Amino acid sequence: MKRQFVVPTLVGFCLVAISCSRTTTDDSRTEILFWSRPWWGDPPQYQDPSQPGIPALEWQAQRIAEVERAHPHIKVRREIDPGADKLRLAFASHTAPDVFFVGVDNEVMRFAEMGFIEPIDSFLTDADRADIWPSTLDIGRLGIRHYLWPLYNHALVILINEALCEERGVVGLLPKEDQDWDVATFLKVARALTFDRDGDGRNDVYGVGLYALGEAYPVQMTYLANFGARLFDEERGFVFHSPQTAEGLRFLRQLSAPGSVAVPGASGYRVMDMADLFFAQRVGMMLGTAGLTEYGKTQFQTGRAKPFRCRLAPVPVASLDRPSVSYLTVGAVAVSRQADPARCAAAMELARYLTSPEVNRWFWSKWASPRRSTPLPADPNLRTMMKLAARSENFLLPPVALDPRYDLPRQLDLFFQRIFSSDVPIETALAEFEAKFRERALRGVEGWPL
Amino acid sequence: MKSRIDWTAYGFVAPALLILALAHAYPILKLCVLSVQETDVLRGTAHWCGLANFSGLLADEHLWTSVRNTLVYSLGVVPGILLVSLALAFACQPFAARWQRFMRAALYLPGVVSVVVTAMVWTRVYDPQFGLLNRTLAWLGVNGPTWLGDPRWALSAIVIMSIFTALGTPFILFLTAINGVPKEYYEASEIDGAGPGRTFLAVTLPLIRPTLLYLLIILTIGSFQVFSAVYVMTEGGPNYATFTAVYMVYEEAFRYFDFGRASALSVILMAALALLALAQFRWLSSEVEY
Repeated sequence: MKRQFVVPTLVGFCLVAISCSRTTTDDSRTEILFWSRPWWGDPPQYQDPSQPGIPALEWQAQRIAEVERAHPHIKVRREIDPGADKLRLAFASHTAPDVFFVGVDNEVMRFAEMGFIEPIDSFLTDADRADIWPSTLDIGRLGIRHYLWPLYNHALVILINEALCEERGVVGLLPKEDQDWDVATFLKVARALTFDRDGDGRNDVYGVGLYALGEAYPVQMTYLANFGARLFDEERGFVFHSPQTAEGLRFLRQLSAPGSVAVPGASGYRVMDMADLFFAQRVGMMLGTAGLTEYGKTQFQTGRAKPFRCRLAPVPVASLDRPSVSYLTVGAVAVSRQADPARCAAAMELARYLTSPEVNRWFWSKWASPRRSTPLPADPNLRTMMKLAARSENFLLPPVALDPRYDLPRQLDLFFQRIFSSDVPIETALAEFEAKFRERALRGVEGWPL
Repeated sequence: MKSRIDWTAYGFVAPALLILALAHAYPILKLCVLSVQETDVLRGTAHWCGLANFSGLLADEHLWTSVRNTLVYSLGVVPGILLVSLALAFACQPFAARWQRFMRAALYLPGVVSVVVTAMVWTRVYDPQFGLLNRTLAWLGVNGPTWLGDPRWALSAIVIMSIFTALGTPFILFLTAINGVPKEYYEASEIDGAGPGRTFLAVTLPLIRPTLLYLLIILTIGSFQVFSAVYVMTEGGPNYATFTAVYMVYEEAFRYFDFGRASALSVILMAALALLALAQFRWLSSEVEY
């Protein structure tokens, strides 16, 4: 009776233990765990449009087989990664994949700061350095080291409902391609696009969509950067508390004031909430990544939104004597910290291949290439975006690594939420932000002041 | 005479005890150990740091913000759910069984849906311009606030959502408890000339007190653990207006990878909840005799 119970239990435990343990290959190849994303290889973006498309996962399997053929010492184990939190948990539990996709806005540089990610500098060739846009490479820089293999870059742009502008008679005020425009013109357009369509006495279309929830700080910082505001300066260190920042913040407050041109409640909106309002034609303009136009196409194709003409434009500048500057949201591939140099080299080989021109030829010909050698796309909107990508700047990068317990993106998000949702004087908010930055971010930081 | 221990009985209980120990006792012990350690996630090292995590937390202004928000949330949600579900149960009690079944299903179903889904739907409901709530308020001539974008309203918005999505279980338990009160007591109360209010206070409420106590404790514990709704709807914002204790635990652990501080905060939370449950139990528990 006892044996009947004990033996199956022990067998069960052994089976569970075996299934939970890390699998090993029966050959001598180095196995690399690669966390892929379901969109990688998505036919409309990645595959030759003249050939019949195959499912993305099948396409991925073909690319992985190519890597294994080209590097016979590497075996790639692919898993599909559902998103950022899983990566965070994997780092915390020491089960991180060797190679993984990241959006640079999802805390990846904090992981680099904490030492979770391998620098790529010794694997970057001179040709890579010459070809990849400096601003794109810079997004993954910390101090003198780079951590990310760039796969695509979307410059932050103003998305404009061109059809609505025509309806309201302001299409003539819009800039042509990447031609700059100033905040006064932007405001004029925004005012024209704010109106009561159904005649119930309340505005139901707004000129601008602002949002400050969920890592939206690059959006606000891009508005401010076009007023000349910066967070850091190579010579003086932290320069956020400046007249330029204050002027930019006053502009943002002017947009979001009650009864003004922005949808009220910016602090409660995320980017995708605003994108939904934009494609539902409730908002005439919003600052976002150019990639949102792809989201819009899906909305149109699935019938969730009525199609309309959309135009991309540079972020407006405070004064036309200063060129518009944009910020890049870069998608990249990274390699987690490796103890074994051979394994590290193998993982880097895979990362390099995933982001190489040979794999991304079709993707880059249409869309967001991080390399100079890719010709500009034919689509005028994408051409505008690529021109802006070329003159973008990483104005969020601290010149030295900050205290890991100070989360600059989070603090910036909270700062902008405070600006939008309270009537705290701008000077006070800036002074308090600076005081906390100096007290917390610079704790134990070497090399500061610069 | 020395009694003989029946090991067979212990054998039957053992698997359940083992699962309980693995699933609850071990994590709690590990939590207590981590709370007095300084951990380095990257190197996988941990060393004793005494009460430094606790003192660091107590000096952190955000701890007090999170405690205040959690208490406000709890004080809104627990009485809110109890009052609304009790009122609904009381109102439904005279109805026929099939209507009661319908109400049970109607109120229980929202609780089956994941909090993440519910929170996403309510985010749309709260949209200041185009959401159902403000549209309805506008129709009534009221200018609705920017719910999730205004620090004065964001926590209230989460409280309201939590009340309306958690009514199912309390409603069913209250209805069952009310239906379980012997009819003779109501007849006696009627003969004595008591009105509906007096009958409720003198007959129904004392006799459903065990259910009330159970729900009070369970809901209080649940309200102190609020996380998913905050994570999905506001991420603790705007400007820390919905920053709750468990959200802070999450941030300490998975944003800053400071498992020592996260564990210390969890220990504080666990102790506070245990004391609160004990106090509620002592205050409300008493034998109920029909």
